[in-house]
Amino acid sequence: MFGCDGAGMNHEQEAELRNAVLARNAARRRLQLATGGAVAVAVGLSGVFAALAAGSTHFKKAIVRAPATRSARPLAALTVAPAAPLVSANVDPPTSASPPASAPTPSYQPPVVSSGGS
Amino acid sequence: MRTTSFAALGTSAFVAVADDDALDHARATLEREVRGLDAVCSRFRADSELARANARSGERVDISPQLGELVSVALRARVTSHGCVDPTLGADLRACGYDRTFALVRSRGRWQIDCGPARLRPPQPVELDTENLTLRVPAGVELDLGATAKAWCADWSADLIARSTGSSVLVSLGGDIAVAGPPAAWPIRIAEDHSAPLAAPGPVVEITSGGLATSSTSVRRWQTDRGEAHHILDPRSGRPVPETWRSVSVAAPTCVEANVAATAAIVLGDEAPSWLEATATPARLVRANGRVSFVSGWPSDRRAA
Repeated sequence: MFGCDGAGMNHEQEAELRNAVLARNAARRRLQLATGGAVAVAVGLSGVFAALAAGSTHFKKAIVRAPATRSARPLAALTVAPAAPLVSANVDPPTSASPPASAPTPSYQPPVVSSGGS
Repeated sequence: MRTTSFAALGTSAFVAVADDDALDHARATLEREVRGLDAVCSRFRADSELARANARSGERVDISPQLGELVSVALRARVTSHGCVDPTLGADLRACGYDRTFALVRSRGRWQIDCGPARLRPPQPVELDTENLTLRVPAGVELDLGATAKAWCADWSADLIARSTGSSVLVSLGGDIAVAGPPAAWPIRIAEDHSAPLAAPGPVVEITSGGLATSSTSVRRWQTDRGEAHHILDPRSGRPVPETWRSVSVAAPTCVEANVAATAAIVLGDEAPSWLEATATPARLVRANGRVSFVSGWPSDRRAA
């Protein structure tokens, strides 16, 4: 049996932690929903403007201008609401929803940096 | 490929980008994020948000979204590590002598441990409300986010830089490494001390995504009246763990997961290899006597030297 839980978490503590994680996930889902909505609107507007541009100039130019992936770039500014999925949302130890990690491979290149104690 | 580094968080911050033109932006982003992290969760700044929350233990306090996320990540680490990586050990670390920046701890000389004999203690409940952004640290407890915050910042910064520049990027904060952006092979030396020269002997491995971190008991050490101490505590006793392993390096989907697993392995002692195998976590473990083990597909040193 692995673990360092000592006396172990009681049900109340587990519930507190579970609630905290669930609340975070709920907030994250709302943020993702809002983000998705914003992206959808941006993509839609880009399409509309591209179509307008196509109608007023050359068809081929409109096709070139249509990609809307850049519209998602400003989302990087949402750093004040850190929501990067760093660990699995599954609260049941010991399982993890993260995919298994890829093992490193041997390298024959000069290293760019060291990993070690700090 | 271009790189740059600077001193930060009591250690070094390093960023490498595959696209040469991305370096200036990458450095500026990392400097900003590291500065922000220090202001939010430094244990050694009286004006940090975490220090203020610790000073008001027992009370519910309002917190920023970033501190909410950092505490959430730390509490999650406690669960995934089965309690081996516990953010409620700040007071124990202080009692053991790690009560100021490590440069000052190292220069101070012998520390008299005054926390009494080691005792078994249950995990301390932390009340975090991420909906309303409030935090209640249990009375008498101090949070220390050292096991997860630096790695979180590496993950977060690497992702930000990759998204804003489109370049493949590697960020290292004191040897906690995160890689993001288009897949690229990043060669990394595995060492006891992340600040060792790159030309020093040791295995070199490559990762193309995720994180790689090393926890070690051989770098952050200081003198006490009970012998040498180090910074990785056993949550059951509040004391430095017995040194079964000198260092453990782990690769994982994120730097946070890698660092949590590496620290948990140090705490688990002889149980670590089977736990890492059971969780399919690639790792390299160095025993106190120097003997090296590899689990879950981590390449042997002969292949990676």
